[in-house]
Amino acid sequence: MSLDLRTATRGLVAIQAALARRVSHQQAIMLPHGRWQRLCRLQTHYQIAGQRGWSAAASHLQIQWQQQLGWFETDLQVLQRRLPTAVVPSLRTLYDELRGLEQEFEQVTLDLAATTLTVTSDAIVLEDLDFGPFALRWNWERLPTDDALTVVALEPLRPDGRDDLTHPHVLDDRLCVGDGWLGLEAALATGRLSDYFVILRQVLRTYNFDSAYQALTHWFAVTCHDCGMQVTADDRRSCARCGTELCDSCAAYCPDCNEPHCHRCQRTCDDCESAWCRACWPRTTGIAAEPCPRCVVAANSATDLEDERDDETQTNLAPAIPTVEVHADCLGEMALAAGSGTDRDQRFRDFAPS
Amino acid sequence: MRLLFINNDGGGFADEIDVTDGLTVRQLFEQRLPQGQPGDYLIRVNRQPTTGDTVLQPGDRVTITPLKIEGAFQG
Repeated sequence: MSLDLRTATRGLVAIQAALARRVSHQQAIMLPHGRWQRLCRLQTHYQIAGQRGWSAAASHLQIQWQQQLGWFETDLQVLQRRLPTAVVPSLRTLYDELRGLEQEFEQVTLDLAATTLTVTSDAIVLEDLDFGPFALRWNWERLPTDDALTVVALEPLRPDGRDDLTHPHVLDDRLCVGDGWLGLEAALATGRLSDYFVILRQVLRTYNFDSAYQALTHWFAVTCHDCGMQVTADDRRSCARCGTELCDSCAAYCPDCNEPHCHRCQRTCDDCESAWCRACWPRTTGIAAEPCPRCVVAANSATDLEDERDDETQTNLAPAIPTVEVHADCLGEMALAAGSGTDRDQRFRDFAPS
Repeated sequence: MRLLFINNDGGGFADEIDVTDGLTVRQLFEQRLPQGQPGDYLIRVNRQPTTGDTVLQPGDRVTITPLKIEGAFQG
């Protein structure tokens, strides 16, 4: 075996002692009193709610009662299954288990100072996503508690924005073993370390999309800052001003810089309804219905056009207007060149103040 | 002859069982998991990989572990 015999022996003695403590801990029978008391309390509340006609409360309590009853049933099953099988394995058995582990896993490490037995899995690939190898670190001194095992990704493939997730069933280096729980309990109860780690590895190799911390389809998805929808990597946009992630529907493209912006970093023109970023359209006045730069340009162009037309009209009219001598007694009157009445009316309309 | 049979599917409990002499791994699997497919399980004899034709010996330890064990999340 690759572990040196001295280290292995010392480690196995320590593991055996820890498993013996676990057995004695379990043999101190702990009946699920707390669960039973909760059930009794819920039943009393349910009866009171029924007597007083509080149907909504009764319905809610019934659901809670059924849930607690299910847990109570599980507690009893676990109790029943744990006790008869819990035995302290011999050192020979533990030695064989360690050898079995070396057959199954490329790397097996015993750290006496840290009181850990660590095995390294091969790369875990789920639906074409490579999560890399995992170190399954089992601290035998923490055995009676739930935190004896940590599952550490060695080449983590984390979803964007989630430093706590390294696998659909691993959160904060804790593997939620789901269906593997009973098998793991049974393996530890008889010191079957190789089965224990093999079951853990198989849990890692299995993707349960119904009960994942994050679905694989959304592993690289982000939440749209504006609408809250999950957006895949291909469809997401980033606000050019504040950097928040957006879906394509919520990203408003500024007509000037053509960059996407979130709702907070944009202004919408009341006239043309175009969404501008606040850099291209800074708020310069306190007027709520201030026109956007495009509308301003359009308005100015219209004014310029009118001015040009006015100038043209004046130019056209100039030769036709005879030089008249204005006398004080004919102020306000002007002699115009002969022409059609329609032309004259149009010219007057053009001169008319808007 | 007697074997130690460990089925890690579900409860994962170890049972000592009596089987006929000359029983192969495949035959034991068919007896114990008639609905199962051998390809869906890791089968080990005395913690070593094995083949379906391996003839079991008295005192052998046979372990069957499903390839797929569904994890969950703690809500």
